[in-house]
Amino acid sequence: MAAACLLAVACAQAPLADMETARAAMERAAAADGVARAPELCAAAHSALARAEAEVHVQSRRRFWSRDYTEAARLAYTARLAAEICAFRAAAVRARQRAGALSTVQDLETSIPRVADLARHARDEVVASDILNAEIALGEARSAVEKQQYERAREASKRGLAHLAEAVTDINRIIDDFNSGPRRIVWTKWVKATLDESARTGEAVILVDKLRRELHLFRRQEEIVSYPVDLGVAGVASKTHAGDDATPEGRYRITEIRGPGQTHYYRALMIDYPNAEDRSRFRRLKRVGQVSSDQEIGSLIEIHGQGGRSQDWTKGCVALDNDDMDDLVPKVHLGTAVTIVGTIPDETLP
Amino acid sequence: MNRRINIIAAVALGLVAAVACAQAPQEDVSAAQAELDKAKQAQADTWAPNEFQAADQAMRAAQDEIQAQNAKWMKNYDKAKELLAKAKEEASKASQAAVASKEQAKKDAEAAIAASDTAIQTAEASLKVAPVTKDSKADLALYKSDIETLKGTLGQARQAFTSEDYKRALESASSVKDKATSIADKLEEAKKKRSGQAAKARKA
Repeated sequence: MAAACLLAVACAQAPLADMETARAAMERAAAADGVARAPELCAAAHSALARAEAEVHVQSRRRFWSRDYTEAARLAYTARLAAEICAFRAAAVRARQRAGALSTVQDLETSIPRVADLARHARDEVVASDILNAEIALGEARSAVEKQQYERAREASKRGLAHLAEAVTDINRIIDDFNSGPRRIVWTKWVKATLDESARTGEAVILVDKLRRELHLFRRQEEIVSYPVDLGVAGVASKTHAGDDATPEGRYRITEIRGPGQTHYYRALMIDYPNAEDRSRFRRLKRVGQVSSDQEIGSLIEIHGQGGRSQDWTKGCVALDNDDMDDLVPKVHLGTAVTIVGTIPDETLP
Repeated sequence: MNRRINIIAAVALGLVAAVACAQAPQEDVSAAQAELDKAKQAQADTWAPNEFQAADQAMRAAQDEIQAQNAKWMKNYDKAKELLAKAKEEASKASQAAVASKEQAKKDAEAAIAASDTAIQTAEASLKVAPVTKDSKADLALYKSDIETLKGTLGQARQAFTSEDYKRALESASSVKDKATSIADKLEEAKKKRSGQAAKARKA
């Protein structure tokens, strides 16, 4: 009789604790965006909770002696389990998505400077625009990460990486075109002649590779040192006239060495641009109308300091970092050969 | 005695008939469904997914319950009514939450686009007055091209806004604004550096 009474009282209690736990779990699931991250589990939890609440309401409206919360207790327990599974799953998926998004964002973060560095060699507006779009996508991805919208962050990062892939394809195409162009024969001849001269005289010679943005110092066919350089704003383009901001290509000599105070650019090695060959080419270009008749050929091309900016910024000169100029100047003298080419063909090097 | 038995039997039969012939709560179903349709129209599945799923699942549970009761001889639709009331209430909450959430996202995106537009105009104005020197020429050319790209991306953000993709519009416009501000800051810095150099030269 007593047991029957106890059972009756026990069964007359609404399963409030389980209901409360289930609701708390559903709030956690909602905070973890459970509907998007674990849709089926969260749908099952919502369904179970709704059924449990309905059963509790139905029982609570009955007269106290006829209330029976057995089914409500079963449903509440089911709802609690389903809600906790939904919350756990949503949090787990969120953690996985976060890790994936952060990894893709990091990929993009590390790839942008690499491609930007490579883009310097191609100097192309479409490439620059692709890189900027990748940077914008990176900004979007970072903002999405802050809002815990990891799928959006991943999508934005992937968009950024796609822009970079397009940029790299364009850079490769530009470099390939440059490497296989008709000027390659001339560059090969100049580089060989310059290295032969060094082998013959034992003197140091300078080779400037415009595409790689490098200045190499050779002596007797051996490379002594190389430095990164900045070029004219026009990048790898061939110089045709004064003010085109292009670095000329040709075989030159150092005609003057200027120290600190004698140049705006720390130290400078003046070269004999324009030489006879440049003048002849300039006349030809004017004759065929590629250069207008009022244009000048230009002058004052130097190898000077204040470079190291990882950017082409001069009016056609070759700029080195000041420390590199300090290192280079004692190794050369008046008359040292300076050969500037689009790129040094690999087969010409010893 | 026989009369009493007959009365009891008649009452029992009446009760059984009343329970067995209980009608499905069609009006409640229609009301809940209408509220759910309203929530769908307010795109609650996108803007208030949690509330919408709660409403949708309560509705499904109610339909299951009605079907289960329909198949019984002794029908009781109390629980179904509770579920329908829950579905209606959650759907109404979902509608309100969706409208509020969407409106907020729209406002945020609108503000971000306006701020981005201003930042681009500032960068353009700074670019116009930036001194062109041998040192700055390359940078200026780059900034000019960057600003054009930023304008293009802002155009895409506006398109996303028009197609109600406010989250994308916000993220895109904010990123464009950051870039444009960074260009304007660099130009301002270069201008200050240049005026400093000019003042130094005048003193010398």
